[in-house]
Amino acid sequence: MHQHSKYIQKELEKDSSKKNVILVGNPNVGKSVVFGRLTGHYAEVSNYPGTTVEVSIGSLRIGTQRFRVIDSPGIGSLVPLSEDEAITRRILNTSNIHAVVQVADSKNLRRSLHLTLQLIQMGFPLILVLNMADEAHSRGIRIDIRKLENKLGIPIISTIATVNKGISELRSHVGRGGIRSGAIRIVYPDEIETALIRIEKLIEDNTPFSSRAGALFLLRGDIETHQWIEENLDPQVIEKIDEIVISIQQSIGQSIDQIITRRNNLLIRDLVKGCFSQKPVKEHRISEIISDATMRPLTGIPIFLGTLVVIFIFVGVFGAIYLVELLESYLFGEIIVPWMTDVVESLIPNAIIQEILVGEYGIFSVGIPYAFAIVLPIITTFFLLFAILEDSGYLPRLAMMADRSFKHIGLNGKAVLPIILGTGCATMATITTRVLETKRDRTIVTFILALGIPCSAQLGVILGILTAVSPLGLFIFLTTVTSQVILVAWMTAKLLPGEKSSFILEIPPMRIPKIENVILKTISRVEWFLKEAIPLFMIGTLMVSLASLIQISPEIAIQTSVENHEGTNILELLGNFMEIIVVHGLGLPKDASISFILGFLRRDYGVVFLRDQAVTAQQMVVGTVVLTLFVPCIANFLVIIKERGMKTAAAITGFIIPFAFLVGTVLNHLLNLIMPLLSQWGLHL
Amino acid sequence: MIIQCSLCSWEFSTEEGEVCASCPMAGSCNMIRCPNCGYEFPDPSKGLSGWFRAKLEQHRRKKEKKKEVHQNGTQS
Repeated sequence: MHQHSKYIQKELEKDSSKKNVILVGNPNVGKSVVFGRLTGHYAEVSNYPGTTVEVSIGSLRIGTQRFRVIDSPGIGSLVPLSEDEAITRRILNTSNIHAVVQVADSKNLRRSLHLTLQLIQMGFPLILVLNMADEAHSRGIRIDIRKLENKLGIPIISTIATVNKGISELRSHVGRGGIRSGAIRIVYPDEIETALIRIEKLIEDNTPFSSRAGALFLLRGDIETHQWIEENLDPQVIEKIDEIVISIQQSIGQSIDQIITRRNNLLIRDLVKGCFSQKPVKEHRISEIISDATMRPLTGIPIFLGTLVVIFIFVGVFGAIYLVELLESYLFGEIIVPWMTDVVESLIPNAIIQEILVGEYGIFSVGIPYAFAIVLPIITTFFLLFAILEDSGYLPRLAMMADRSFKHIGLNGKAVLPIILGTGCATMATITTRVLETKRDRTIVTFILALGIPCSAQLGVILGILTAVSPLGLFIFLTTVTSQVILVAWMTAKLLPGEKSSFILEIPPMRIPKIENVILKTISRVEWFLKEAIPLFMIGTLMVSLASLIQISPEIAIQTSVENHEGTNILELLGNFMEIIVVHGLGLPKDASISFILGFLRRDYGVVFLRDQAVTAQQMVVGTVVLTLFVPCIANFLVIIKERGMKTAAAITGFIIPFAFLVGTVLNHLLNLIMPLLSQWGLHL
Repeated sequence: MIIQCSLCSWEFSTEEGEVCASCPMAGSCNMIRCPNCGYEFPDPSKGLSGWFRAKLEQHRRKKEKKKEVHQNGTQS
C-alpha cells in the first residue's frame, strides 16, 4: 500500500507546475463522460500498480492555465472498504489540488450528498456537478440549485455530460478553482465530539486533509488514515489515539460508523428540504409496464421461463438440429471432409501426418467440423438471441430478479454481480470479484464461479445439444446445476455472515432492440469466438490425435505408429485409468474420459466431444452436468492462479474435481432408479 | 467514442474499457469491459463489427450530404 502511494505521488508530481483537478463520485454517475468532455478523451489510462484499478489522467487547458485532470475510480464512501475506494483516497492525498469535482447523479441526490459531506469535512476545494439532469427531469425531479449552493457553500453545476450541456460552465468554475465550504459543520453526540477534539489535538496537521476529518476517519477505524499517522507521528501519540478510539467504542457500545451515518442522514434530510422535489410521473408507458413485470417474481419468473422456451426453440431446434444437420451431415460430411481427405491422401504420403489431419481424430475430419459445423451454428443462434435480450434492456432486470432470489438465501448483495457476469464469461467474472471487499469474499465467489456457473458459450452449446437430444434431459441438467449453485450460494451465506451489502444497478429503459446493434453485436461475438476458441479446438484435436497415435508397448517403450496396435495408446491408457469413475460411476463409455480433458481446454469443446461419445440421452445429461461442475476452462484457471494465487487455485481444483464426479455418479445412479418409474408415466429421456 | 454498458447503463469512453491484463485471451479479444460493473460486451470500435459500423456511418454521412446538396439545389 505504501508503495502505491509513492507511485501515484510520483506520477502526479511529474510536472509539479500543473495544478490537479480530481474527479470523484459514486459509481454510475457519468463521471467518466465528464472526464472525457473536460480532457477531450486524450487520456492516459493505466493500471494502478499491484491492482487492477485503472486511473485515467488527462490534461485541461483553460486560458493560460494548464491542469492535470485525474479520474478516480467510482466509490461509495471515502472510508475505504474496497480496493477502488482505497485508491480514490490515495489519489485525494495528492498535493497541489486546485479543485475536487464531485460528479453526482441528479436522480439520486441524497446518496450523492453523503460523499459531498465527507469531501467538505476533509476541507477540499470542492465543485459539485449534478449530472444526468435530463433523466432527473423526466422523472419529475426538480432541484433548486441556487438554494442548495447556499446551504452547502460550494458551487453547483447542473450538467448533461452526454450532450455536452453545462460543461462550459463547469470549465469556467474549474478555472476559478473549487471552494472550501465553511457553511457545514456536523455536530455529533457529546462523547464523539470530545473524542474528536482530543484526537484532533494529537494529530494536529499531520493528515493530508483537515484534522477533524482525520480524527473522524480514525474513529471510524479507517486503515488508510491509521497508516498515515503511523508514518508521521510518534509511537506514543499513536498509542494515545488508539486508546481514545478503543475507549469511545467501549463506552458507546454501538458502531460509531452507524452513529455518524445516521447524523449525516439527518443533515442531508435538512439540506434537501426546500431544494428538492419530485412530482409523481403519471404517464405509464407500455415499456414501463413491461419493465415492472420483468422484475416482479410473480410475472418475472413466467417471462424468464418464456424466454428460455424461445431460446430452446431457436437455439435447440433451429440451431442445434436444422443448421447442425445441414452443415455437419451435408456440407462437411458429404463435401468438405471427403474432399479434404482426398487432397491430404494424395499430397501427403506420410501415414502419421495423414492420421493427424484426416484420421479418426484428425484436425480436418474432427476438429474443423466440430468447430464450424456443430458449435458455430449453435453459438451464432445463441449470441443472436443474447444480443436481442441485451439490447432490449432485459439483462439488468434479470439481474435484479436474481438479486432478490439470492437475498432470500442470504447471499451478500455484491457477490451477485460476479455470479451473474459468470454466465457471460467466468474468466472475466473472476476478475470482477475484485469489487468484493474482503479477500475471503473474493475467494468464495471465485470458487462458486469455478464450480457451477457455465459460461455463455458452454451454456449455448449445452442448451442447443441437450434440447436436440432430450428436453427432459435439459430440465434435469438445469435442475441439478441450479441446485448446486443454490447449495454453494447458501454455503457462502453461512460462511459470510457479515452485513448484507446492496446490489446497486441503474436500470435502463426497456426498448425495442435495434436490428443494427443486434447484428453487429452478434458478428462481434462470433468473431471473438472464432479467434479465441478455434485455436484451442485445434490444439485439443491435435492432442487427442497424438494420444491415439502414441503407442505404449508392454515394456513401456514409447513409439509412434499407425499400424502397430500391439501396445496400448495413451487414450486407451487414460480410459483404463478412469474406468472406475467414468464407466462404473458415471455410466459413460470409456472414451468419454477424453471429454473431461478437452473440457479443461474449453468446456464447450468437451461437451461437443461428449456428444459423439455418449450413446444414450442419460449419458449426455450426466456428462454435461459433470463438465459444468468440473474444473473451469484453462483461461479461467490461469486467471484464478493470477488473482488468488497457486495455493487457492490448487485448493479450488482439488475440491471441484471429486465433487463434480461425485454429483455425476449420484445423478447417474438416481436416474437409473427413477427413469424406469418415469417411463411408466410416458416420460423418457 | 462514448458507449453505454448494456448491463448497468454506465457511460464510458472506449479508452476506459479495461484491457483485462490478467486475462490470457486479452490479446485476441475484441470485447470491452465496463469499468463500473465488469460486464463484458463487444467493443463497437473493434474488429469486424467496428469495420461494419464505420462503413455504415460512412454510408449514412454520404446519404445525408447528398440529401443536403439536393435540398440546397431545390431551394436555389
